[in-house]
Amino acid sequence: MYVYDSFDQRVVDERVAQFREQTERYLDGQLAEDEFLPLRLQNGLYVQRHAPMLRIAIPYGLLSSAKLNKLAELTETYDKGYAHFTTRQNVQFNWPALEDVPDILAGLAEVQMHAIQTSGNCIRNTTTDQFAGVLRDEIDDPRPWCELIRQWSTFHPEFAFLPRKFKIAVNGSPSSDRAAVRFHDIGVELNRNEAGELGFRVYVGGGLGRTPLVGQLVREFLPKEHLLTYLDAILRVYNLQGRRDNKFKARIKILVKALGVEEFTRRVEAEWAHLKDGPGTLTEAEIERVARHFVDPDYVELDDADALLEEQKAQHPGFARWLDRNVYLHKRPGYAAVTLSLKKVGYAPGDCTAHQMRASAKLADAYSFGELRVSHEQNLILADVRQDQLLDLWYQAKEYGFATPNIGTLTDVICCPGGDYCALANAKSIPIAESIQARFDDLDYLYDLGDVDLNISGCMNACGHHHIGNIGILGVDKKGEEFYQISLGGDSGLNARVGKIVGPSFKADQVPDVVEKIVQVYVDRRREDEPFIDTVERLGLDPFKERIYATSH
Amino acid sequence: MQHLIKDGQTVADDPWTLVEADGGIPDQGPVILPLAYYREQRDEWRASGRTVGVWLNDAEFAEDVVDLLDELELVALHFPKFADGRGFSKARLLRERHNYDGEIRAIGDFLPDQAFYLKRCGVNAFACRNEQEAGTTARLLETFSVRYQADVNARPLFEQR
Repeated sequence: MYVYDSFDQRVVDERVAQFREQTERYLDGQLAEDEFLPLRLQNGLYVQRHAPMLRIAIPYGLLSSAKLNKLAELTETYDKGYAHFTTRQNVQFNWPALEDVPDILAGLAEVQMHAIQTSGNCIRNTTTDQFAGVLRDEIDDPRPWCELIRQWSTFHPEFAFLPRKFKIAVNGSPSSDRAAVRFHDIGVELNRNEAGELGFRVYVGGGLGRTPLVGQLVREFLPKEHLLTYLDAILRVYNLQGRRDNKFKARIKILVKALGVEEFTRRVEAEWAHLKDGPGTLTEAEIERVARHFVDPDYVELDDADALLEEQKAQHPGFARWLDRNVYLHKRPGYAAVTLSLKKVGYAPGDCTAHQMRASAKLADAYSFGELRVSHEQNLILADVRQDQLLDLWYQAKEYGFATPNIGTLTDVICCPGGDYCALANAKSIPIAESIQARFDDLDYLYDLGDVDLNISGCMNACGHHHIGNIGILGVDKKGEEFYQISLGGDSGLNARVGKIVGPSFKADQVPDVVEKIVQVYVDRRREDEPFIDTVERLGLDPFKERIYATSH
Repeated sequence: MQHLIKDGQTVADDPWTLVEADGGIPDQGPVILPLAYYREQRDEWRASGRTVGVWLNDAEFAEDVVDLLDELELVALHFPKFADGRGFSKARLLRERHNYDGEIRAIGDFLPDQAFYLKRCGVNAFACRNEQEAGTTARLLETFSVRYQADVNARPLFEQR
């Protein structure tokens, strides 16, 4: 994990002082409401339905046990003892008092954390694959590049007041895309040229929200030292030419679409011609300095523990299920990556109590070198667990309520906070997630269904990524009543695709029935070993529509 | 009455007069003219020998003034709304690409809290809305002692590490 030096520490310390002073000026009446707004937003502070909401950055999803313990302490001191992990690898406090926020930020700075640029029309937290660095087929570790982007984007003097928010994601795996890079303003894919040199494939203009679009390829290979100057060029074109007259048309995706990707690319390349090889060009020394923070932990020389695990599986059917769903392959023999599920039925997806935070920090210390990751599916990951310790870990995870063996299944729901918390929402989302989780509580049935991404957003800002769920659910407002629009066929991975709406929307209490009907069509019509998303792709929407909208007798 | 901060200092007797798009022009003293107007009347103004600057509205970009930079002692960037960040890129392009070394002045609806960024982009003068904001602007010019990125004044931090 990246460890701050004295420069990095000064940045976060001075940020705390700055925000403390801004808050004082606001409370004093020196700063008007609308002037304080962009300043507090760039510190992650929203004013919400019940209280302010503070979004804290977890850069590219990496946490240590010390950081998590600090988060637990802060939620107890300044909030209600729990927090919410988001789909962008951040964490949110739902009930802090405005006056306390400078103190919360000071507490975060003690453990090298911050809330810098977690909201507002600026460059947001950079995200990546939760299994970065431990995957078997990675081109290279994306985390050093994420950290370089974090530092470059932190208080970038030119790009703090963009037309709209700006999100960058990085993926290092050629066979999967857990970072959904093609649904970001900029998607960066690690890549090698024919000479074997490391560089990046660059996509621009992806995004969800009102106008979901898949990012377009602007460069097939960008040599690694040019990453930051190329980002500068893209951002400068956007900052000067992006629309500012209509906030719904202000994202870079609209500019790319309006110009066409060829013309957009031409403008970026023309801008870059001036910046290329300039002072922002990365040096080998800097790339190595940052990469040194992401070297492997002290793995023990081990063999894969196949025989032991088979024996344990035979003795404990619950362990077998958990192994199947929640444990992921690791690049090192004898190790595995484990997902701690934050999707227990009856709890809001992504919510985590202070007790659970401390418990997971303890598990990280005991089993995974004191480190954790947050996934965009809103779960916690222990990335470096010895296979011969998995059974012990499973027992403890069960005790703490983290062992729901549902990762990647229908009940591993991605969900925004929705109308229960968020001032923007049209409809509640958490109760919908709960009603679906309650309906599909038969684990055998759930496994039989296999991988199904179900994503729920409470409004078209799409924080719950409903467009790219295999099943997407969007809360809409119809004359003051909450309804839910269902879409099918979305895919966040390498086959990046936006789902299609099946038809008229439903009331909340109908949603579990509709999901069940969709699933029944799949069960009836699937071919052997055919995943849900492939069946939807093969059949198209019609058979699903027929079942969903069939008149009941 | 303008409250000017220039190169970090309060300027009590700013000699410049800002001329609005449809405003009257004083008979003497340095003037900041609308770019389009100056372009139209350029020959007369050059013949007059007066000290002249121009200001760019939100739809006018650095390239629109490049051919005039040698004869302008000041270029002002107008912020229609503080959230409109185009001025940051414009200032940077004037300094870094077009090597402009005259005064770059922020005018309009910018915030004191943006002064740190604006300075890094090459703005060296700030026409503030009132005395209190001028004081705050001067104070906030050096909010952060660490700057990760290269800017008009400095190389990137990574060269020092």
